[in-house]
Amino acid sequence: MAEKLEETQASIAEIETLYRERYPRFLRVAVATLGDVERARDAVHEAFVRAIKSRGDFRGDGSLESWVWRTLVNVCLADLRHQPLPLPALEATAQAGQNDDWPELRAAIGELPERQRLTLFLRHYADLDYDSIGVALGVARGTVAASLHAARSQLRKVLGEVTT
Amino acid sequence: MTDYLSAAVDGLVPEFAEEQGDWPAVVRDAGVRQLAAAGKNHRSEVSGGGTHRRTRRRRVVVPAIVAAAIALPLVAVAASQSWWFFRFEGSPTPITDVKVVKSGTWSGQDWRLVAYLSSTDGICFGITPAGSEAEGRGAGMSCAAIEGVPRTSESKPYTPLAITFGSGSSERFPTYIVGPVIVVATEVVIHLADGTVVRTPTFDAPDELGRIRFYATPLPDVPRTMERPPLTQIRKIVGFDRGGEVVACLTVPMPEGGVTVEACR
Repeated sequence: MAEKLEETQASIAEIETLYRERYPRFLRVAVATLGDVERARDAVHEAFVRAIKSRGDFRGDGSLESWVWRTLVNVCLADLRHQPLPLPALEATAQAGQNDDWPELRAAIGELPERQRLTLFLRHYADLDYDSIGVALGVARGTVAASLHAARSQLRKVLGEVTT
Repeated sequence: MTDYLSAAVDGLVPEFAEEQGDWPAVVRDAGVRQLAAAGKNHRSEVSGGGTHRRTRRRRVVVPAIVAAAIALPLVAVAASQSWWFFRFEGSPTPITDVKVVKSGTWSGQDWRLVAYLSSTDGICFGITPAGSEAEGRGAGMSCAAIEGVPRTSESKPYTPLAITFGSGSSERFPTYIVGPVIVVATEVVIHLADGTVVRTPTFDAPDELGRIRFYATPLPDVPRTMERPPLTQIRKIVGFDRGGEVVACLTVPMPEGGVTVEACR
């Protein structure tokens, strides 16, 4: 019976471990997506609250981390629907103290289709592999690859235009 | 991604390497209380009918507090003549004696349902195995504001519930559910996620605890996996009066803003 207790508590403990080890990455992606640090902190908070509440729904189809990433993506998208991000995207992050050496790049990212933009963020800021991104966005691995390729191509084009 | 493009994208958003978040706030807002047990690597999470004070930093209207509950962990502390839960920092201050509401036996283990009124958190209640009054081994405790429980000048501004619950599973007991309910409820029906329905009669509480009744019952053994803990199997708890009318309703998880009896009709 002692094992029952361990099983009962393990999921929250795992979510806690994920939170403590990956918080900066979750926050970074949320900031990139929402363009506002405070909204991003709220989104990460809300995502983990939801993860705890709905932990019984986790089926183990992918990793727990991917599942939480998906929750965060959903929270961010819901937030954006409620309060759309003004273009160019990421404007607020520049205001938050980052160097804004690439205003054209910011604008280009902001103009990417939503899936491409999220794929880019999850690959670059969260360092997720294609499979995990697929789980997080609810798309196939091939779609992840195609979205990332399209995003990179578009951004390279913009950077090329800027730097030549 | 090329290094050039990678560096450019990387420079757009800070890394936030020093940010650690606020895990206790996450746990609190999720409506669970997660505490490490003394001397062991055990944790206790409790009670979907529990406290949910939403304290996010979002600049929007903060929903009203819908419930109040705290939970204390399964513990193994040094022997004491006092009740185990008073050994924990944060236990609400009692304004009554600890009352034994009911005694029983589950899986061959005698237990006692004990409760007391607190100065701040309504009624505190929980199951303690017989003989563990001091050490608290296998015990659990929750507190909640319930209709019929007297308020004090220090009571937190929680909206009283018509019913709430504490639930646990340990080496001493099967998964069980216990809680107070408004005094007119004579039967409580618990709906589990797999469709199982458990009916249990309510029973009297000492007058000092207010105009309430209690219920307590073990739950059927349910398949458990790492990600499907037994406590999450509870979906709805309904209190019925003598005439079969719904008088108390709690859905799990509780929606923001609370739940009305219509949700259980």
